[in-house]
Amino acid sequence: MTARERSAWMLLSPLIVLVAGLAVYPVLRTVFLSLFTQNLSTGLEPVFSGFENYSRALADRHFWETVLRTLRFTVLAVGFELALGLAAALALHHSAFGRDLARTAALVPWVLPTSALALAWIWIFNDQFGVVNDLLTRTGLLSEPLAWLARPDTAFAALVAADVWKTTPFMTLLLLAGLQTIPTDVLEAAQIDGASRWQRLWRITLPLLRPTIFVAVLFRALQSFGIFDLVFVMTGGGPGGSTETVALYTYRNFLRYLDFGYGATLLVLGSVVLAAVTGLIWILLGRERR
Amino acid sequence: MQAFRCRANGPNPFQPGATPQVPAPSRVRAESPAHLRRPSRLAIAIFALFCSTAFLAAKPVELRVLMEPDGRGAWRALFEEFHRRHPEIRIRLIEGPASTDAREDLYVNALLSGTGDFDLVYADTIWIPKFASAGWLADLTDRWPRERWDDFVPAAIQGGTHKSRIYRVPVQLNGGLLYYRRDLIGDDPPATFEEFVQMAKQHATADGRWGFVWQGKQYEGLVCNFLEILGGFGGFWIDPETREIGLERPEAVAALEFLRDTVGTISPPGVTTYAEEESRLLFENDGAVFLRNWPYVLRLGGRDAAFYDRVGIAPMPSQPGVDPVSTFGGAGFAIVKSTPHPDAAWAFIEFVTSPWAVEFLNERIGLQPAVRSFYKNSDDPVQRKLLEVLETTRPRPPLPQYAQATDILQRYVSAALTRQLEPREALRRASQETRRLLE
Repeated sequence: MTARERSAWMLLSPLIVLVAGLAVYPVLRTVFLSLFTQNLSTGLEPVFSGFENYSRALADRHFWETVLRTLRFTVLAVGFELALGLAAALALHHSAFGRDLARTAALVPWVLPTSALALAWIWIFNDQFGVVNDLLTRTGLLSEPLAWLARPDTAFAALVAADVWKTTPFMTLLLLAGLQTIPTDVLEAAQIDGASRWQRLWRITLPLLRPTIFVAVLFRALQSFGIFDLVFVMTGGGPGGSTETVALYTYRNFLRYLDFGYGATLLVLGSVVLAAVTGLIWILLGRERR
Repeated sequence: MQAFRCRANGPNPFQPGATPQVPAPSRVRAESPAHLRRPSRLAIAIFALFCSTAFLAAKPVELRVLMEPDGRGAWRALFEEFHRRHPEIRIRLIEGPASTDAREDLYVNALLSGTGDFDLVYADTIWIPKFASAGWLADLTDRWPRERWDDFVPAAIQGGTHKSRIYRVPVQLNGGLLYYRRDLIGDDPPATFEEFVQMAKQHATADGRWGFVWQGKQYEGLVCNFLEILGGFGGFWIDPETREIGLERPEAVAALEFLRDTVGTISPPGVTTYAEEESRLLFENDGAVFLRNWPYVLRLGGRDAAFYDRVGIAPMPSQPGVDPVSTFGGAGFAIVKSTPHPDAAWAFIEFVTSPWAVEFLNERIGLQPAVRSFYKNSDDPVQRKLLEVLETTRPRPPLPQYAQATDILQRYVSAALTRQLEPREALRRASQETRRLLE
């Protein structure tokens, strides 16, 4: 090792220690813990049990239901956010007037704490006092008020709506930043060559924006798969467990049941699913196309 | 639980003179200004001199406890008063979230990691079996003679007991009550489910007044509500002694069918999404004839006295020949086993259950005490009525796996109420999963 390399390693070492301590150690510890049974029946002492937790988790129908539900939530929420975020970003990018103000205002939902918003959403969807029912019955779209959070389908839709409302600004901001890096001369050249607005959007803007879309979708998908606070406050996983997510179920096993080995196993399996999702997003959006 | 059966004429340990002579605060409304009576300066000087010989240069012991937000500063004032009487001990209050489940998570985190963050646990009744079987709490059974324990409402002691040992001293009594509109149905609340439904239908209106509001969201409150109906039908959930599961019995099916049938008929369709506050606000806005809720509603009712003058409280209805049931809740203090200051912590518990502190907390924040003598000495008819109802409280089954058991029940009861499953089928599945859990 040359002196130059040595000093490079020395300069890097604080960061390596930090990353190892904050990221690598907890991951390894979780994987390690998933091989033990540690719960109230063992007096909270870890007892090695090999892959027992894994066979239990693979047979845990309830867990896989939450996985499927969370995937569905992620696809719907991120899909809507991408569509709305893109539209908003394009609008903000092209309108010179009040852009800064609009940009700042758009961020407000994203800045507010989710659990406080979730409490507000409970009231918005309330069957007696809720503003959603008020608007829909006044305009004649609903004949009588609906208890939105009392039915599995509408409760799920309400959660998606609340999440979309809150995180679309984040998507917008990322996409807007991406739009601003696209050189205008390319677009002008296309315009001179007679390309229509749609052609410019589909052939030039979107392909050039793809790396940004990839990052934005990846960020949001990772966050969305781990959704906890919104569901915890708004429905508590109800009605009848129909909105319980992976994070909520894992939390219950860890902190409420004190079943640490099993909780760690669910965490590992959840991460495997998430890795697959990430891979899929990369194949769809991230890969360089020839 | 026989050991803690109450003795109606037992010696009253709260004899005058048993604790320092601070005059009891007068009964005034909670809004009145604080007025802790100060001992004379001479007394303080003598006391300080006495203490300083024993604790010269010693820093006061600090006991840490996590509690709900102390909005009106009553707990802080109480801790100050305790410090005045025991200058060698200071209580440090850490204000946690208002949600009981969230505070439980914080305690679990701290106790698990063994960081010694807390010396006292302000514990909800359903935490005790779990915390005690995890070995986190000190056994308090022998700290007091049995007569002293007998002064508490039995359910409150049971709620702090695990395997016949007491781990928690109750300071607050909570139980489900039926609130009813006296201006609509008079002073004769319904005793049976039949009368109840009939009155609810009779006084409901087409323009937004429902018959009955309760807590049907999928959370712990739902189990509390369901257990009251279940008990009123003569059924049970889990027998703590034999571990028999009663969910598949006909009484349980009848109870769940009854509760489901209220949804959309005498109760608003959204009742299956309500927690305490949603139901309370609907009731206060002339939205219901009956409300099932905890005693805190009365305390808040002081803000709208004109409305609550027209409201009465009663036990929940039940089938003829079956005693009404109120689900027991409520908080108390436990001592962390690993604390270096168990005796200081116990001194605080003795103080907080003294007549002076009990009166003080009731007056300042409307805390319903768990000591029976408070109610016997009270001349307030509402308090006497409350004791009558709260004596019918029944604790939830004390199981270390309570959290799993309640999650199973919550999920299936909620599924039946929202018509995803038939009650019989929902209870069959809940029963099956619970049996697997308890094996």
